[in-house]
Amino acid sequence: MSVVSVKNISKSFQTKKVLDDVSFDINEGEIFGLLGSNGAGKSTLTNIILGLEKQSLGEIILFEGKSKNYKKRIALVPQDPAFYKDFSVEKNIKFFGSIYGLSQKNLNDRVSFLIEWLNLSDFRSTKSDLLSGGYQRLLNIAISLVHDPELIFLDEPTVGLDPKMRQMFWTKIKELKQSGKTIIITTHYMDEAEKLCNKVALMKKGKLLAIGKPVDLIVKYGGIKVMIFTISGGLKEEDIQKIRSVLNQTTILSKGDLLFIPFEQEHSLEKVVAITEWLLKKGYNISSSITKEPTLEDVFLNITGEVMKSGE
Amino acid sequence: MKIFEIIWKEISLVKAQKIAILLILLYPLLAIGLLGSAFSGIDVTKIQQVKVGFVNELGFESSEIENFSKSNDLSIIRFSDENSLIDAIKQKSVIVGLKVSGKSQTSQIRVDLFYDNSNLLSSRFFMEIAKAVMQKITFNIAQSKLSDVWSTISSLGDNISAERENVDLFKSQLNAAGESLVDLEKKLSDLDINSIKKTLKDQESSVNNYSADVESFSKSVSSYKSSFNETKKEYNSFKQSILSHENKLAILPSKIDEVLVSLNSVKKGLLDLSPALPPDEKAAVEGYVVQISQAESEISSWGPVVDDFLTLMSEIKDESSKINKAFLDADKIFDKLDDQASLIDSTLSNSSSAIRRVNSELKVFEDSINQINLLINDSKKSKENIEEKLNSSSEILSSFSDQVISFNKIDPKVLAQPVVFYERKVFDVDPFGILVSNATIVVLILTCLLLTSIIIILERTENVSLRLKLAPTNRFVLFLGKVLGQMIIAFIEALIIFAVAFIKIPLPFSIFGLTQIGFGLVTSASIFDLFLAVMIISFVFICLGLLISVFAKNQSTAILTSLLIIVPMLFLSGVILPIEFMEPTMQIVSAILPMTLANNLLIGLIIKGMSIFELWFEIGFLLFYSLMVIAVLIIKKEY
Repeated sequence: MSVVSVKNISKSFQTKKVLDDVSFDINEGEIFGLLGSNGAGKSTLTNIILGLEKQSLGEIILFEGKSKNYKKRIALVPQDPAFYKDFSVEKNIKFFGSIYGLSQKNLNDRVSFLIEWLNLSDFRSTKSDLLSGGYQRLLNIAISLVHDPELIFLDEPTVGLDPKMRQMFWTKIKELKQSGKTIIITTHYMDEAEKLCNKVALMKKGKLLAIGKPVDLIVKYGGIKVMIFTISGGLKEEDIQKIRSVLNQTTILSKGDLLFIPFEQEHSLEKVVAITEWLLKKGYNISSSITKEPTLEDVFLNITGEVMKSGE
Repeated sequence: MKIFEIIWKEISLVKAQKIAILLILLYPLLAIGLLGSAFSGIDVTKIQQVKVGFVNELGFESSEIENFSKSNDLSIIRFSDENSLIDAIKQKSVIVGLKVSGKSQTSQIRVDLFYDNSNLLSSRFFMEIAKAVMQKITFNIAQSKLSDVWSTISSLGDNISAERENVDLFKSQLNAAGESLVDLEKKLSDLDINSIKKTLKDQESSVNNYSADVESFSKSVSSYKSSFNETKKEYNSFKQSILSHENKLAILPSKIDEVLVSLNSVKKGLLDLSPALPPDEKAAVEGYVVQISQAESEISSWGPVVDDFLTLMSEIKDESSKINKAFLDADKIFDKLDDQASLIDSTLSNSSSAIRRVNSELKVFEDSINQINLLINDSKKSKENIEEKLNSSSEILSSFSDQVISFNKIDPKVLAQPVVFYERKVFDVDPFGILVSNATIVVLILTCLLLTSIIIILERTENVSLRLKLAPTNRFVLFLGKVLGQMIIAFIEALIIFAVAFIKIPLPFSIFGLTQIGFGLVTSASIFDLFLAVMIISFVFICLGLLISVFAKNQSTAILTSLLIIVPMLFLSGVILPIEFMEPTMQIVSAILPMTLANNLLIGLIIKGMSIFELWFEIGFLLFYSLMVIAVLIIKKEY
């Protein structure tokens, strides 16, 4: 079942087009990753799907248009904490549950479940403002899920979290998926999208550049291996051009101290050795060199020409 | 420099918020522009604009009061009686009222100053102006009365000055008289009249005694003296006879001796012859020598008798010398007596001289008496003089006394305070009620407007509003919940203010000088009306807060914007500055400001004792504002 159907959505603010004919479907039980750098149009699209903004063109169909009161079936977990900081953890969850019209029993059950499930039991009566950043994010999730929504929007769910907390979040998201929830994640972290998402959509400047399963996108757009040199001080543009011309590869990129050299041909190792020697001869200080398998980041890089960092 | 970096950071942070920049620029412009345009046209010195109601109930003609009613200092509107004046104040056709009354020119003038105690600031201010004008008139009245008193006192001063000179003269005269009397006293003290009298008396009796004695003694002495002189004469004759016998006797011894010698020689011759002579002749010669020896013994026996005679004569002579001496002594005695007589004469003479001296002293005394008499005469003259002048002073003092008595007719209070002011409130409620209203309005506008806008901004900035928007809750329910929540807060605040204002609970003991809880304000307003008014007012202010939250993007902007609304309203609503000071057009603007309407609503209830239904204008306008704001919220899709 298509939970979200985005059909030819366009959105303009005065003369600026922030969404340009975006269309995709999100099926029930999927974890859908909406990827893109800042200004890609992710937030606008999310707001349009949530009904917070009106699209200029196109149509959003939620739950195949069968639900009139879809607000009770969707939830947004904002990136930043969205609760009353002066309220306790329990009071916050209960208040937001109450505005969803939950019965007292149902509300109490949900509150207890969420507190337990998100490891907030020790902070039940703690003023929300006093929680650490990670636990505030967990409270944010608890509040969003209090009405047991079917469609959950997670906006950059793990930004700023430590690896342990990040892993925990991923676990919880996977558990939600297992419970049949449909999840839309907007994230900068390609590894997160690659590990969690069934389907990802790559956006740039309001356009949907690619959509599909991460594996498929990697196969299609990720390229092969990439040799990554870390050169202190970076490379001079003329030397980059020299390497490009020698290797006859225009996809060689240099970003800061990093030099990315894709490997598309057999026996190219000799060429890499030669380049390494040449660079050393030129006086560059190569602090490290690794060979990287293609990932969703590569897909993003290849499609958008922009680098998206991993969250790790 | 770190400090400059920090300063620049502060400015940059403000600069980053466009609305804040706008407000920062707008604030001073608005404050000075609004207040300037509202109040600059008003010159409080041109108080002709102040309409003052005037009722003259004086029982006498007073040109000053009449001049006051035609005064150019104020716009005077005359009323026939107090009630019509009070009605005019209630209807605000006049700002303050004056009623002058008084029985006579010598009694205090009572001025009742009526003021609208529902409009404490301006009414009291203008009342003070009217009072000042009245006080100016009062001053004139007092000045005229005091100038009468002053001229009297001034003439009295001159008279007293003249009298003082007189007194100085009296003093010098008295001093002179005093000195004369001291001198006299001295002289009198020198004159011991009793002693003189006694001396005189003694002298007189002594002299008298002496005179008698001397007279008898003189007589005795004269008789003695004449007897003595007779005796002396007899003695002298006896003495002469004795002396003549004495001379004769004195030659006898020598004659005897010569006889004896002759006899002896004859005897010796006879004896010599005898041997030679015959014995008969020798017997005859011896017979002769015995005769001669007998004769010689006889004659020798005659010698002692002569000696006896001579002795006797000598004794007589001695006795004579004694007698002579006695005579001499008697002469001496007589001389002494003469001396005594002369001494007595001298004593008498002394007595006479003493008497003369006494007489001379008596003369001095008489002179002194004469002097005293002169002094007494002088004193009499001085006394007459002083008496005359004192009579004159008495007349002056009498005249002054009459004048002073005439002042008694003037009540001293009239001089000190010719006009007495009585402040009269038009509404029978303590003006504290205005402060209760003002406090309630200020608290409500600050809390409702600020809290509402800040909480909404807080919800927005903390993404809570996003959750609320995503929730399936009806917008109206969200709006209603927010408004009612804020209204409950407003209700609690109003409840606290009203409790403190209206309740009065005496404390059993003083706590930091506090002897009671609450102010015990008495009002005829019903609690229901008051709280209904509070609900209406807070609803309007909450709506204004909601309106601010539509445009403000963050809390600081919300606060600035709230203050941008609150502060001008505070100045223009009459809570701080009197509305009557404003330009007429601004007065109209002020009258329809939510804060003014809210204040009027509460003052109408608390001070004027009106029912909430009588205040339909204020309520209508306030609800109109609320509807306007709700319309904006709906258009902006906030709710």
